[in-house]
Amino acid sequence: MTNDAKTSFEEKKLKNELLDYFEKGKAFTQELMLENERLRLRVLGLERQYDDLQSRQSSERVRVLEEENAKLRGRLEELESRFGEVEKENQDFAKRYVEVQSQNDNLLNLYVSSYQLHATLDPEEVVTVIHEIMLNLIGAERFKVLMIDDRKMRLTMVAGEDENGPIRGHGKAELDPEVETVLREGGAIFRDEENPDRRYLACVPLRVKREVVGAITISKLMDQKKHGLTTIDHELLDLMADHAAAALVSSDVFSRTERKLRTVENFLELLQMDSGRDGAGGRL
Amino acid sequence: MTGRVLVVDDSELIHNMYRLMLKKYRDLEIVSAMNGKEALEKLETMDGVDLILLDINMPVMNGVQFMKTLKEGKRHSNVPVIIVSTEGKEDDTRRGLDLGAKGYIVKPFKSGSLHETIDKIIGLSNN
Repeated sequence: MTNDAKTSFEEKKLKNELLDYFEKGKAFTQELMLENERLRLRVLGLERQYDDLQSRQSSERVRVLEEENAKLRGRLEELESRFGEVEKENQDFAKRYVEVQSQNDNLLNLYVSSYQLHATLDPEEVVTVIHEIMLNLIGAERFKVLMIDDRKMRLTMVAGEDENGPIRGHGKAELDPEVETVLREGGAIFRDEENPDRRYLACVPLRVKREVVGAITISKLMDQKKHGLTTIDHELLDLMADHAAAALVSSDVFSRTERKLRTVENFLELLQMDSGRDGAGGRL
Repeated sequence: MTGRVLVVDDSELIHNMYRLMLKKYRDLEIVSAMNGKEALEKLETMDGVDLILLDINMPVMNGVQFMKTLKEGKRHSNVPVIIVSTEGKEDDTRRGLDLGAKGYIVKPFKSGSLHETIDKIIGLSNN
C-alpha cells in the first residue's frame, strides 16, 4: 500500500469514527430530550395532582369550618334569644318590684293611717289625724272634710285647709251638686280625662258600712303632686276615707256617750243631794 | 350598718311612718321629737346621732330655727340633716339646702326615695 492510500484509508476511518460519534451523540441527545419530555409531563401530572389534593383538602377544611360556623351561629342565636328572654324577665321583675314597692308603700300608708285614726276616741284628735293624712300622705293643699249632722239636718265642715291655712270648727258647709251626688250615691268621683270639668279633683264619701256619713273633697294638690292623683291614690283615698269615717263616727258617739254619762252622773248626784236634804229636813 | 336617727316632726303619723319604713332598714334606731326645741333637748342628752330627719312647719320651734341653732352650736353642727317637708317648690328646696341640709325630701314621699337619700347622705358622711 502506498503512503497516499494509507493516508486516505486512515482519514476515512477517522471520518467514520467521527460520524459514528455524532450518530451516537445525536441518539443520546434525542433520548435525553425524550426523557426530558417524559419528566416534564410527569412534573405537570404531579403538579396537577398536588393542586387537586390541595383543593380537595381546602374545600374539606372550608366545609368543616362552615359546619362549625353554622353550629356557632346557631348557638349564638340561641344565646341571643335566651339573653332576650332573661332581659325581658329582668324587666318584668324590675317592673314588678316597683309595683310591689308601691303597693307596700300604700299598705304602709293605710296601716299607719288606720292605726292613728283608731288610736283615739277624741273627735278633735281624729280630725287632726285626718288633717295630717290629707297633707302628708295624699299631698292635698286645699281640701274639706264634711260630715252630715243628723241633729241639725245639715252638712258640717269638720276640718279642711284653704289658702289661709287650716280650717277648724264645725261651720255649715254648702251642699254643691257633686257633694250631693257622692252623699246620695255613696261612690267616689274624681276629675280625670273623661271628666275634666268636675269641680273637685276628688270627692270621696265617708262611709260606715254602707251608710254615707260625710265626704272629703280635694280642690287643689301640692306642687309636688302636680301630675294629679293616680289610680293608686284613688284607691288609697277611698280606703282611708272608710277608716276616717269609722273613727269620726265612733269618736263622736263616744264623746256624746261621755257627755250623757256625765249628765246622768250629775243628775244622780243632784237626786242624792235632794234626797239628803229631804232626809235632813225630815229629821229637823 | 347600725345608726341612730333623730326624727323631728309634729305629726305622730309621720313618726310611725318613719318607724315602719326604717325598722328593718339598716338597723336604724329612731328617736322622736315633736318640735325643734324638744329635738335640741334630746340632742343634749344623747350620746350621738348619725342623721336628723327634719320637718319645717312645726309649733314651738320650727325647722329653720332648729337648723340655725344646730349650726351655731359646735357639738352637733356636723350631723347631717335631711329636710322632709310638704313645701315642695324649688325655692323651698334651695332655702333648705342653703340652711346646711344635706338632702331635701318632699312629702308625700315613698320609702324608696327616703332610703335612697339616707344611703346617699350616710355614705357621704362616712366618707
